Amino acid sequence: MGITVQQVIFVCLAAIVLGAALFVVTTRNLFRGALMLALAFLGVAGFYVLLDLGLFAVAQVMIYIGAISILIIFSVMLTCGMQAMIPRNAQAGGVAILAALLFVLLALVFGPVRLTLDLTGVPLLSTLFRTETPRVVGDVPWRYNTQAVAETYISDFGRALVDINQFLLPFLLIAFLVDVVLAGAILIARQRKPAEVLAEQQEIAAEEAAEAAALRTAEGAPAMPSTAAATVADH
Amino acid sequence: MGGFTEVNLAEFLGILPEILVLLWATLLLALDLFLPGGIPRRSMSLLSAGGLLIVALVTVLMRPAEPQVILGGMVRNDLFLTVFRLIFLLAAALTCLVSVDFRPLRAGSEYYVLVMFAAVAMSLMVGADNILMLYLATESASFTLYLLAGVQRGDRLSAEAGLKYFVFGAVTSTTMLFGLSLFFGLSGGQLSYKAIASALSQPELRLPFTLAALLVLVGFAFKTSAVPFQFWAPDVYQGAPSPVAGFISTASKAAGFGILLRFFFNAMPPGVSEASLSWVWLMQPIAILTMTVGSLLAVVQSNVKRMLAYSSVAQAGYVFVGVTAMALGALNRAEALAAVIFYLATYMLTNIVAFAVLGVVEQRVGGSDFQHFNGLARRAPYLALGMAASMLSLLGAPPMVGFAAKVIIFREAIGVDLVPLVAIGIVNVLISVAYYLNVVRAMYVERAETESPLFVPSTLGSVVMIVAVGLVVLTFASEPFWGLALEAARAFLRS
Repeated sequence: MGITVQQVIFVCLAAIVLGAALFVVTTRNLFRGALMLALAFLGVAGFYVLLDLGLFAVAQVMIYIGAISILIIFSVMLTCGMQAMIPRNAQAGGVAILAALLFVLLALVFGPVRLTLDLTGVPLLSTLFRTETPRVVGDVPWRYNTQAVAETYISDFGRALVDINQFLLPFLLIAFLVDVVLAGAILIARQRKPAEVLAEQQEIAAEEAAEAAALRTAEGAPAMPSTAAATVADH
Repeated sequence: MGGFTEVNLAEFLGILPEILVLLWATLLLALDLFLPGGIPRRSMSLLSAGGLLIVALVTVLMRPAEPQVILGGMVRNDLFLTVFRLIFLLAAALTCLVSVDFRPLRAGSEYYVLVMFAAVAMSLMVGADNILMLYLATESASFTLYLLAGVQRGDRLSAEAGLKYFVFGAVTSTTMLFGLSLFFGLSGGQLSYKAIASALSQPELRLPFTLAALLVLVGFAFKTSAVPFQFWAPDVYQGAPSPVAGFISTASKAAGFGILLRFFFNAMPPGVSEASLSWVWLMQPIAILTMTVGSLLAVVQSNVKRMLAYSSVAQAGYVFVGVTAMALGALNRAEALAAVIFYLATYMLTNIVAFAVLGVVEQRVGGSDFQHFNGLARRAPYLALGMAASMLSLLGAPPMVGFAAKVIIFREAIGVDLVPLVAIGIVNVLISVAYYLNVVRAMYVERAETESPLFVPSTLGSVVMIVAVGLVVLTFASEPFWGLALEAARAFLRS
């Protein structure tokens, strides 16, 4: 009975992914759900590492955690009332059945008991699921880059992002864009306290009164009827 | 582990203006955060504008003698970029100056940082020398402008403008990205414009390259608000705070033309392959449609802000006349490009003034319909004078600089036998008399219910007057600016 380290790690990762995913679909707190979703994604990245698929792992972390989860988390935080909202889901049962069906299908296709279908005779399906993918789509010879991937592709990728002769400038631009857009999003979405709104109204009223006074002194005589000036000042 | 390729820090000097603006913006934001009470609104506006103007000076001093491609082929630093940088920096500085007096905005430090970042992103758009940088810079500018359009808090129209601009922008930019990805795939994984141009020569790729060019053109047409992608303009301009509308209608449009020229003339140069015929042929219909639809719809507007939006569509049409002349004529290409640059620069000055005055009227008279301009000449004579100068310049009436700009564009178009196009252009100028002079008539002929003087903020008033005087002076002192535009055009074509 030999249990390898890989199998232990796999079971741990599977527990994390399944646990986090279950939490996501059962929790009533959107924010915690979003955080747990990120954890589930991280577990999947762990599977890729286990399979020695470094690029997939990096892409998983960057796209699913770095982009999608963060996007969900920020939209929950920036949308007023969303954090306190208790979501209800009337379709939970149907989705559960669909998910179970999908699981069965995946298990049949990729699982230990491999399901093989011969589609060569079936009219529509045989064209849809051709084994040979044509290289020429729509008479266009799409060019493929078929050279082997270098051993150091992950470190090459990382270095390319900070190399002045490669992609440093786009990388920096994205960093600035994220900062600026986040500041702007907060500027637009932030709910102001009543005291702030009041202070702003007083500020506007003071400015308007000062303008009315400036106009009067410029004219020499009251250019505006005094009642009108008073209403402006009160405003 | 292999080391880095040779690092030449001097290459960063090529984007020094952008670096300086970002540093200044970051510094102001930090000061506003840490100083007790923050930076006062008015100082913030002056500091941002002052910083942008100093950087404009640095840009002039640091102008490259020879075109250079820097930072791993990301940016092409040449005189063309220098001129566009000046347009963006000046537009941003003027926008910062007039924003502080637009009271409903209550612009805090973040607003000015957004304007400054937009200027940086637009410079990088025009500087981009490959499709990755082109897309990233375009998105950076667009996202900043979506935020600026919706920045007026508690105003439903402004929020609607921001959302509408975002939705339209997202759709067109995805279309453009699809086109760019086709360019990437068809050229065998090339990013730079020049490598794409050399992949064009394969005759069997003519059709897919044509499709890709059309998809990319959708993105450019959105940025320049060319017909049929002008639908967003009136709603966004009307809802956005007036200074922002002025910025979007000038700087963003100039950036749109900048990337259009850069991309099409470098990646798909006319006359090199059959694939580039696709966009060359489309320029003339776009010019005709954009001019005509813009001016016809501007005539029927009762709101000056919407009128200015359609007018800016028509103005883009006149610029497309210059682009058409440039694409079709091989001999006077530099002159035609210089005409386009000159037109964009003068249009920037003119339209920002128009939107600044509009902002005052909107806020202090209570609306932006034509009737709100009634009697403005008696209520705020200098402001009315500035608005009249701007309207006459947009119309292209002598002695305003808009006249010179239009004459030069039409002259270059006639130079390549585009007489019908110029005839349509002149008809549209005649139509535009109706709506531009309608504003002047309201200000000088009509009487308002109250003739009491209007308070004109001092900063805004002086900006309007200085630029208005500049619009006349530029006509008679246009020689050095025309020379600079011509030099920039020659640097653009020397690639």
